[in-house]
Amino acid sequence: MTVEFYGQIRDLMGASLEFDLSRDGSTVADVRHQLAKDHGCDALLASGIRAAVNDELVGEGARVTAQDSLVFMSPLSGG
Amino acid sequence: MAKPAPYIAARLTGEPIEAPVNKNAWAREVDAGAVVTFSGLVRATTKSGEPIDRLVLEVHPRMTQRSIEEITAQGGARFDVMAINVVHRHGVLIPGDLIVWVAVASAHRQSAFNCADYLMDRLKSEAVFWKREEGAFGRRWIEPTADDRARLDRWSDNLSFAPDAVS
Repeated sequence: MTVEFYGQIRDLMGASLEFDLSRDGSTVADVRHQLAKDHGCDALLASGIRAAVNDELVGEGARVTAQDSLVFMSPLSGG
Repeated sequence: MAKPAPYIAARLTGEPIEAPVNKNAWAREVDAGAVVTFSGLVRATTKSGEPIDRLVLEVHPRMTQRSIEEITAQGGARFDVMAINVVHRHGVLIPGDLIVWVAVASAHRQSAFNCADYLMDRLKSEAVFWKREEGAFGRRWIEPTADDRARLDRWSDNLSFAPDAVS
């Protein structure tokens, strides 16, 4: 699945990457923890970094599939 | 009788914003008695007084436009206004550039003042942007200030992009 990063977290994780979602029933939290471990990026675990699936904000328990677009975003700055 | 739906326009642009010069012509189209406009400019210094070379506004390709549309529509539903026009810039800006332009037309002035105030408070804290200042100090990401939060708290409904909207 494609995972994108926005805001400050992009400095650490890059703009996007492909994540191998090998396990059915994975949640946003599962992906977040695996990415943080794979990339040695504890900053991704910060509670202020929210997730969106297919352009909708979701909670950590939301299920994701390989077809979904997952976004992790640093706190908004506002306009 | 329900109020007529206002004319709403909300636009995100990567190009310099050209604010309409003849605001009265725009207002006459909706037979308004008042038009309040707000122009937000990029300041030349940080909050601590350091000069900045540029301000960069990053966006999400869809969520940013949607957030501006939702905030604008909610302003139109909340206040007795006839038309709203919001234009928001993204990309690389330099001091003095117009970053946001808001115009609200209404029959009488107070609704337009209130609606513009509401729109700016929400845009400043909730619109889906990530801003950073760049200068001799390096680069620094910006988050809403306590003052921004306090101003936002004055309007405490329908805050769909608020930090605690999803937990």
